[in-house]
Amino acid sequence: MRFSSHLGLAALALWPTATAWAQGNPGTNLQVEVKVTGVFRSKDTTYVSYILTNMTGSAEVLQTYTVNAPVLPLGVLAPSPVDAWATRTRYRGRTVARWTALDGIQPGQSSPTLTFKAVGLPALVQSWYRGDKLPSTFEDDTLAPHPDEFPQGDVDPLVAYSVPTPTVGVEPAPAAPSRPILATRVRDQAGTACGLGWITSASLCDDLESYLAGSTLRILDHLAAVSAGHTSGGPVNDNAYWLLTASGEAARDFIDVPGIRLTYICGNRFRLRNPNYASIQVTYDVYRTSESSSLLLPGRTADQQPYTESFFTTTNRGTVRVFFNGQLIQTKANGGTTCP
Amino acid sequence: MGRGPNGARWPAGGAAPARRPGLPAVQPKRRRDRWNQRRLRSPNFSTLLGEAILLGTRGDRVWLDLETDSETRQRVGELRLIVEADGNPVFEASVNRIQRSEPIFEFADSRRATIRYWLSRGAANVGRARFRLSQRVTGAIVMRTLRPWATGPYADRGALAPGAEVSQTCQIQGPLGNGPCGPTVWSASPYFEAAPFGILTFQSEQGTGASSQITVTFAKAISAATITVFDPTFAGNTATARDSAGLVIGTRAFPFSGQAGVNIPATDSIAGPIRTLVLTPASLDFVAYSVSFRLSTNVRVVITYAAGTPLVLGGRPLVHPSDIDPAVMGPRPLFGVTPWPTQLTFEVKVDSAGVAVPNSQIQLAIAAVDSAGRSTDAPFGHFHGSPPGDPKPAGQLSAPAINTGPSGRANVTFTAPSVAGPIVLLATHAAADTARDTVTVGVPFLIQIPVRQSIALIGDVPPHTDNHRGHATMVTNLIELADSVFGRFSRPLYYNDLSLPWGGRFDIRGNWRGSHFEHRNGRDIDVRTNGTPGGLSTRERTFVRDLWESLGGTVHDETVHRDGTPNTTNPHYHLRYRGAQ
Repeated sequence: MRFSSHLGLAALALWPTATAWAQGNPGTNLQVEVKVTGVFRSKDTTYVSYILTNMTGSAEVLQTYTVNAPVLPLGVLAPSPVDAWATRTRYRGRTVARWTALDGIQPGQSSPTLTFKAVGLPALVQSWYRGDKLPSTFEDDTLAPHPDEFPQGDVDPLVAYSVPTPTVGVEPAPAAPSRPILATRVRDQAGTACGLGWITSASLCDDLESYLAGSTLRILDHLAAVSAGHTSGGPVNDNAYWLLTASGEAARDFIDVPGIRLTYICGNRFRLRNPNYASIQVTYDVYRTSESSSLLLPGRTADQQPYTESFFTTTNRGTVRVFFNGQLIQTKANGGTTCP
Repeated sequence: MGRGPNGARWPAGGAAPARRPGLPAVQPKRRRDRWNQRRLRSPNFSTLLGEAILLGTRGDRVWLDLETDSETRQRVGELRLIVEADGNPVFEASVNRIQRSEPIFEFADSRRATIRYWLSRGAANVGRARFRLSQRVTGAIVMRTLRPWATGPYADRGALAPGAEVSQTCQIQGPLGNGPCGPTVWSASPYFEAAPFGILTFQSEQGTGASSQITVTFAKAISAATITVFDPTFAGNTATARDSAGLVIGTRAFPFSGQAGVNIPATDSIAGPIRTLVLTPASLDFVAYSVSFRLSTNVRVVITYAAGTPLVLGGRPLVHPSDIDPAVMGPRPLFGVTPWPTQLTFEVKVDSAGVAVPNSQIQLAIAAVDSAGRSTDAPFGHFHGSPPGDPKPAGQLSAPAINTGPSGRANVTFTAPSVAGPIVLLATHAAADTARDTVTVGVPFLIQIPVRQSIALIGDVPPHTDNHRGHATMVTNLIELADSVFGRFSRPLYYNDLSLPWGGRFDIRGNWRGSHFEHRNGRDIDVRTNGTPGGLSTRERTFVRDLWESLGGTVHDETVHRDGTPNTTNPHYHLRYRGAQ
């Protein structure tokens, strides 16, 4: 099983589970389950939703939940009632998605759905939850406080008074994406999810690893396996399911435009190959004629299928040009051969 | 019958009293009684009562004390007293109208004057006039009298100003014998005028070639001196100044009726304080000299601050209060690119006309200005004094005294106290003017929380009524916090203590210690959470802590004591900001 270092974390110990229990500093004496309840993509924007549950044994009221956001969120949505929540996109100069329950969430209670959106792809990020207890300085007491009593200096409450826990967030898309690059992301995320215990089946972890390891990327098989494992009592929990599904779909739905190939067959017959899983609507014309038409290229339906083929015959003889979203993507001259 | 020194009467017909050194010889006159008498033989007869040669300078006065018997007074209006100075009448009055201690003559400049006293009779024929006439001088010296005049004591001109302490001992050697000088008189200016201060008067009874030596000991080193020999009597005399080794360091010939100074060069002024003035009369049988001293004391201790010392408030060093651990209470403000220093290094030296005097032992002291905020310590916000036994902290010096060594210079380090305010540095040397300077201890760049609808400032009560100064970023964040609270909840935040105007220890009880233990550099503030007005609801408290932490600070719950008991006197949130500049 391959463990991910997607976020540069070298040791599993740096990734407490979502139900990690912590004691000690004020704000950390509580146990919270952070459950991802949905990751959806709309064009280049990803939406992530959570529900937080302050476990019954917690000694503090849950007050704040902060998700690290490598890209500035477009919005952090306050659940209803809105006046009972404070939301922020910045914390100490860095971008986050942050919710504060002004009334607090008592032990044994859950939050409403918390959602934020940002431009980018789903990713594993760090998050923190914080209880309601505050440190004290006692600096007005008769005796001076001991320097070791509480953290001094420039203390970041996210570090000192919060409990870290990994979760699903949003990070910028790769600068030069390709299906293999996106597939690698999914593979790494799956490995990390396995390391976190979000996927509890070792064989499934091995399968997920193998699906995206070879030259043939089995994205559909990966998605199917994740979905199949996400059942009640199954090995894939909500966090892993939503992360891997959204990321897998991003890889699946990636449009490899240069991969669309136009080939001259014979006569006025041409062929288009579509390597993408998605159906592609293209248009074509015959250069220096008035002939033009559109064509829907079907997508791949199986990982083992490298591409789909679509054939068309022009009325006029001439060079054929193919367009996608108004952009010229392929040009092929009529070879002038006679079809057999 | 006249009066001798100190008012002693000369015995009638007795021998002249033993001559006291420094005073002119006087000839007693035999008298049957206490009165002087003149027989007025004819009308308009004037008789000389007495004559005195005085040596004085500007401002010196001659006072006349006249007493007549009853018989003389019966002839009021017919007897007049005429006083001449150098042959010119300067005073005339009816005998009956002369009051005791009446001033009759004042010196306009430094010179000799001959005063003659005439008793003039009018038309009436007066058989006998009896009188007692005494002369008293202030400042001037009676060199000689032709009559048994009494002379008053020398006037004390007062003490030297600080930094010009020079004492004089005079030892007269030579033909006059040994003896002390006259009384020590000093000017109130750093140097005293060439009027007979420190006057020594002596006489030589021997002839040509006789010399008298005056040894002058200065209790404090001087940089330059002009010893003026006031020789109004004879020409052709020479004054020579020698150092303690007997080497001639100056010589001067004296013109007739003039005065001249013998200058002691400045470069030789520090090594030894003893100077010897040798007066060599040319030819005379009676010499009166007076010696005055004109000194310039420009020997002083100098404090110089090291290059790069932060200078504010009119060019004074500003030192950051100590005991503010940057790791605990946030970084100090920057002076340039380095944290503002908590120590000040300065150089001390004894400067004599621009030359650093080697091996000078300099005493050092520091003192905090503590006027309960009524003086130069007012801007620092401590409007209270010190309780008994708890003086205002002044910081520390690296040494209470230091020797400047061969280089003549030495460095001293001052460590600031924890309390902001002015500190006086003192550097003293036994033979130089004291150096006194003021340094400031405080946190620079603190600004006042502005008045706004969203902010209510509280806690400005004695003894610290100016308590809302803060680091610039701290104040900016406090404004944003208050504005956000006001925008969401339509209510102000109640801000209590931040820091004093120049930071440093904020001693709530006005005793230079104790709490607050923070609030020293504008990065801590107390926000009211309970009570009315100003108490915060649960939502408001949570909002405050959420936003303050997002702005870079931390929130601390001071609604309970260390022992867990509720803080019922002043429950509040303590907000910190420890970020970078």
